[in-house]
Amino acid sequence: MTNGAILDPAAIQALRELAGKPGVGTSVITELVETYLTGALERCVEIEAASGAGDLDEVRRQAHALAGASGCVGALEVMSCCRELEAKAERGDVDGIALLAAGLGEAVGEARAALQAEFAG
Amino acid sequence: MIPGGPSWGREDPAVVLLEDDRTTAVLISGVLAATNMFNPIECFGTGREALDYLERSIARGVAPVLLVLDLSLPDLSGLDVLRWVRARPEFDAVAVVMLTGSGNDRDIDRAYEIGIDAYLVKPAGIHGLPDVVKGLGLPYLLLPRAG
Repeated sequence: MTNGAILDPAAIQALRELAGKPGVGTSVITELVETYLTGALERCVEIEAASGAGDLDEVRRQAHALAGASGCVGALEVMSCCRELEAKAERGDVDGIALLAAGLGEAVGEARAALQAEFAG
Repeated sequence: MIPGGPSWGREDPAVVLLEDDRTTAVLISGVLAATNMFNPIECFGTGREALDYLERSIARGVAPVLLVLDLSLPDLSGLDVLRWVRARPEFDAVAVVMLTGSGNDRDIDRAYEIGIDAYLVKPAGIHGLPDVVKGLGLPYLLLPRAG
């Protein structure tokens, strides 16, 4: 069952269909999710550090990258949060960035739980 | 080896994937693998690495059959790589697909002006890549191995 608020059902369905194709299998999806979650945690740390240092270009760059990766696995809430971070970085909204960056890790945690529930076993 | 193909040498022509995000690269590789294509996939995370590979491919006399380029990269842009490729006659037969998160009209126009064959916007465009590539009619791609 897809958690619609956290994950994009269409993206999850596309991954399920991909896993069902010959030459792919669930191992590719497992690798995809693990790669995403590892990278997402790293980018959360980078975003928080860049936010603390007032490096808005780096915040925008990291948020853009994480938004793209999140789209690949259907992590809708994380993607949305990153798009907001990008917009705030472009506007120079330092306070707004700090607030969003602080909550990004939680969104990634929720995505982790939802993705693992979707693709476990 | 595929006789008479776009490769000038004796290797199967590769698909070159230029994508700096690992998650996206894994997904694109999986989507391409699902087509049962025989071509090897060479994946690079920076424009410089991709150009180094392409330069070596000229020296070896082996052209790739398809480039899949991201637009936004840590060093060069996908457009820089595209410009480099289109300036070299050795790569005249190489198809290039831009696969990027940008749906900006200006980016799309510039990419077509320089010479891409197709432009897809991520993430939805990733799953549409096989159909687009098939539509390009590349005769040495997406063929399952016999047996």
